[in-house]
Amino acid sequence: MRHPLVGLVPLLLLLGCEEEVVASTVIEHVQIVSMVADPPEVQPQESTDITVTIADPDGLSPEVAVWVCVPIGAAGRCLESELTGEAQRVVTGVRDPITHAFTASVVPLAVDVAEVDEVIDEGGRFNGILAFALACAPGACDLFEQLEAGTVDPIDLSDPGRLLRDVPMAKGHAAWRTLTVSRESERFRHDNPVLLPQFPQPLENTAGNTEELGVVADGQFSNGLIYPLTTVGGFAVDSVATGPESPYLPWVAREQDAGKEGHVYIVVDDGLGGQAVWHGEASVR
Amino acid sequence: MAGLLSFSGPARAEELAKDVPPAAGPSLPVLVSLPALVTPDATAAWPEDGRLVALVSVEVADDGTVLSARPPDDLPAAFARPALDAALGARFQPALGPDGRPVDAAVQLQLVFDRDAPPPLSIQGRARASGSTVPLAALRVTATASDGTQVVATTDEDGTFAFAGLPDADWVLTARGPGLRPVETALSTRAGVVQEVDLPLVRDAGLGSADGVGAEIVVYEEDTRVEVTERPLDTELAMVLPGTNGDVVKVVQSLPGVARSPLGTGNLIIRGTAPEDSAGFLDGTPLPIVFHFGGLSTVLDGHSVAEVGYVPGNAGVRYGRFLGGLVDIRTRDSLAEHPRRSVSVDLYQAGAFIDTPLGDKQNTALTLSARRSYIDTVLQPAIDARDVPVQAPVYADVQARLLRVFDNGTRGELLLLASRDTFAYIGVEDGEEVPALDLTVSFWRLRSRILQPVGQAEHELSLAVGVDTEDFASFERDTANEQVASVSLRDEWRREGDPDQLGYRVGLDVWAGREVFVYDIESYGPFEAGATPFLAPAVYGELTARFGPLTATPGLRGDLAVYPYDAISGSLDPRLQTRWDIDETWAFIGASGTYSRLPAARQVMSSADGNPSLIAERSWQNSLGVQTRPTPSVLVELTGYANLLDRRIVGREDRFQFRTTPLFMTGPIDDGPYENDGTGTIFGGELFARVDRSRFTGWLAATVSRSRRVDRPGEAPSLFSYDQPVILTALGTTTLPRNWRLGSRLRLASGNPYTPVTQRFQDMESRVFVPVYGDVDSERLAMFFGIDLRVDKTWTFDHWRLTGSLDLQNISVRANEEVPAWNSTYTEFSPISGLPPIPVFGLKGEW
Repeated sequence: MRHPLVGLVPLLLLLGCEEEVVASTVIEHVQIVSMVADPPEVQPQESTDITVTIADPDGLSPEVAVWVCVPIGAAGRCLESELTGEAQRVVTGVRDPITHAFTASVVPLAVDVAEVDEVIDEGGRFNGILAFALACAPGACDLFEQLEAGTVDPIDLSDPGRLLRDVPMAKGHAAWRTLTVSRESERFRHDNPVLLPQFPQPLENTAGNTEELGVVADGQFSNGLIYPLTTVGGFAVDSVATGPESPYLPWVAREQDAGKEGHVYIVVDDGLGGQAVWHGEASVR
Repeated sequence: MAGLLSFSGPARAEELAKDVPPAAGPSLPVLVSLPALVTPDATAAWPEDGRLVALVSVEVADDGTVLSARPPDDLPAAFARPALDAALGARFQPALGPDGRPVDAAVQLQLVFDRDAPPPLSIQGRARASGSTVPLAALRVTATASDGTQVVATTDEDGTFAFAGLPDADWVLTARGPGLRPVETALSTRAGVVQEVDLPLVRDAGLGSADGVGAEIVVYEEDTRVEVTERPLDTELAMVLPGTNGDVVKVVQSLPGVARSPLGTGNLIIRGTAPEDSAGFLDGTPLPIVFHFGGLSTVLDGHSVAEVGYVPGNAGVRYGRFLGGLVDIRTRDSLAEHPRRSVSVDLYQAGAFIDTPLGDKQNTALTLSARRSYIDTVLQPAIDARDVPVQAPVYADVQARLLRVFDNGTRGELLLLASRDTFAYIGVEDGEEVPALDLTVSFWRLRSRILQPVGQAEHELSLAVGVDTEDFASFERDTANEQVASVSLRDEWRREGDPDQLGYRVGLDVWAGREVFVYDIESYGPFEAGATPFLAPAVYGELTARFGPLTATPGLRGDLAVYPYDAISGSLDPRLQTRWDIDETWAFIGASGTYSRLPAARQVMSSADGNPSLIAERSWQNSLGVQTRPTPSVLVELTGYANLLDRRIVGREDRFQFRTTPLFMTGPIDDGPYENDGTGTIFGGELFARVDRSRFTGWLAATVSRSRRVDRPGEAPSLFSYDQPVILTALGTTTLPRNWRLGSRLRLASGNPYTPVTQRFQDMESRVFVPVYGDVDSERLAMFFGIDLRVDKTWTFDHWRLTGSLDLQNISVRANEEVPAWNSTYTEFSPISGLPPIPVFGLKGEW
């Protein structure tokens, strides 16, 4: 007997309760907030600086690893894993406690790839190159030891899930983004937007209250979105669209947040590969 | 005036006077009426020929009354009194004198006593069940006169009864029978007048025997099972059991071997196999689905169903093309003796049903049924109030059936069944509401079937045609469609075995048609489309031999699947069923056999990226059990089973499928090519203890089991998605006085396994979190616990009945975890709980 998928499942939405804050805006453990590539678009063999902003509410002082991956084949292996005599170009370091970030200089396309050349030689942009970032509490992720010992399995670098498999959720996080390669001159390449907060700093709120945080995002946008996150309280929306009018981000301080201190992070994504991030201290009375 | 009148009773007064012309001049008195001539019993001194003539001298007054009567002096006393009573009670048209005026007259009345003459009818009537025309046979009707005289009659099979030769008196008729409320009616009998009586009696299952005390009437189902492991279910009982909203097939979920389906849906998870591994049949004709959306209701109206055959494993050779168990919905193959009509409404649906004989010969019956859900109208306001973009499911089904029984016992049937389910989930795109998800499942079947007795054998020939369609659309962009137009043919000969001769079953089971599919869902990979005819013939045969207490049924079934442009595959399945009746109360059963399912079109078609070299999936099923009936009303069965699956077709889980298992996919998917790489092991034990008393039916069903799968060689075994090691169901329903019924069901079941999320990584552009899964099916949802309650009350009126019901599921109000789910960041495990208790009120009128 076949019975179609669905049934009454969506009716269960009747049971869904309305959240006070959106879960994706609440940072509870070490979490990569953004990966800003500067510049977001490069020519082959050119490098870009990837700044990984990491929230660390538990004070873990995480180790960070950044690498690029040109996917090849149906299995999604990374071209870099096929390169011999060169390290998989994994750049490691630690999060800066002041900037909350780690910056790695990477070369998105170090060698010629026919599929990429096919696109960019005709004046197009190839944005299928991936950049990965891994942030782990010291000793939590095997990758760092493997890098030191030179025993990294190349397959692991094409699938962050494999790297996180035995890492507790509170001890590590991984993320990825795409990088754009073209043959455009610097003048015509896309650049990152600029994010300007329109609220007093440091941020303060009162338990049970909602503060509307105004932001201005400047740059070129195509369905751009602004994402708020925080380690204290949460936001009532997971994103707002960029537009001619300055959007507001409702920062909710719940009763249980009274007396807490943390940080607020705001990320803008212009929809064209460009990003910007702002972070600041925040407290709830 | 004097004359002779002759009377030989028991004639009627009308007959006496009908030939008498009106008097014009002098005339004798004319007998108008005569009381019943009470015949002395046979112990009286009768003449040899049993006839005795008495001349009674009667003086008739001028008003026609009898002034005096005098029987002959030599008349024996046993005859004198009745003759005198009859004469004194006579009424005459008075004699007329010469002037035409009434005058007194003397006549001699000849009375003939006939020992063998039947007494005159005094009362005749019919006893029936109140609220219907159903006659009540073998009912005791007592007539009690004011002087305490009692006469008793018994109704025949038509419910009719008669009292003859009763003297004129006032009587009280009392009728009583088991399960019926006694009824009394008063009437008076007069000579020459037959009283007609209608006695409607109200059924009250809360009553015991006629005297209300002592003896039980044990009612248990006649063992009609055709398979050694079958558990047949009587539908009249099934419709009032708790926890199933009166659905006859959902009751199967309360039997051993059936795992609990999430969210109260009707999916049948039988002995550790997926719902799509089991099969549903309608009298042996395959059904594409058994339940409407969400499992709220079976696709066939329960009034049409005579029995639900549930076979958890080791089915006979008649059934094929599945790996698990089966449910065979068996329609009534006897004619309706009396029309049955019903109209019902409850929280979810409304329906109408009629089953009526046609014509004068009483050999044809027509059944019509239609049902439509309106849960959408019930729930939609609640949905809209919560601003949830869901349109509740809508389903409907219709049936029409013509059944004819010929003189030689052949039964011919023409059946039409159609069903349609729709569901929509509304989203917003570009500011406009569009169907984010639109799902429709529909099918129809037109079947002709002949059951012909041939000597001691029976020949079954059935032909069914139909179309099954499944449509899915998302935002009017992504679409998927599957359509199968098919013909099913079954030609079977069978005979039951007995100690003197072998039984057998041989048959041809053909399924053929054309399948078309289109999958255009971007997130599920490239566009797919295909169309192929298919032919799946099967032949089967089995013998049933009895060697004293041992009955053995070896059989063999061969199946073929032909996709003309792509692949041909086949299977051969030997099966053996045995039963050893140790004595009248104990029996052992054992069965072993293989069951095959041939690849589906999409899995073998080269044009659909299939694998033409796929062969049939196989299940080797084994059962061993003991059965005992310590008393006629108690049945206990203990069964162990071991099933091995091999050649399971795995792969391409990245493709869109209309499927059930699991309700939500968790864990990594297998997107490799289709291969027969999968295996599985299923072990378990079942305990079934059932009690059937006159006022109570209940059972305890317990199952322990373990079901595992290995998808690819070298992989570690994982649990079946609905593996539930422990399932316990206790169910009982009791009838109370005044047609109340109360039932309850308690269920305890292990939670389903799921693959936990141990980590997550994130796309920094879409901000979507992607889960990282731990060991497959290494966690389990919390144990399920629920109590359901059902109350019924029937009011019986003279010509119809009204039944009200209240079905409450999960009155324990426990928030059982039904489906694993996480928040959007996967940091919090938030399983979806079942619906809160929803009282389902229902009303059904029958006449």
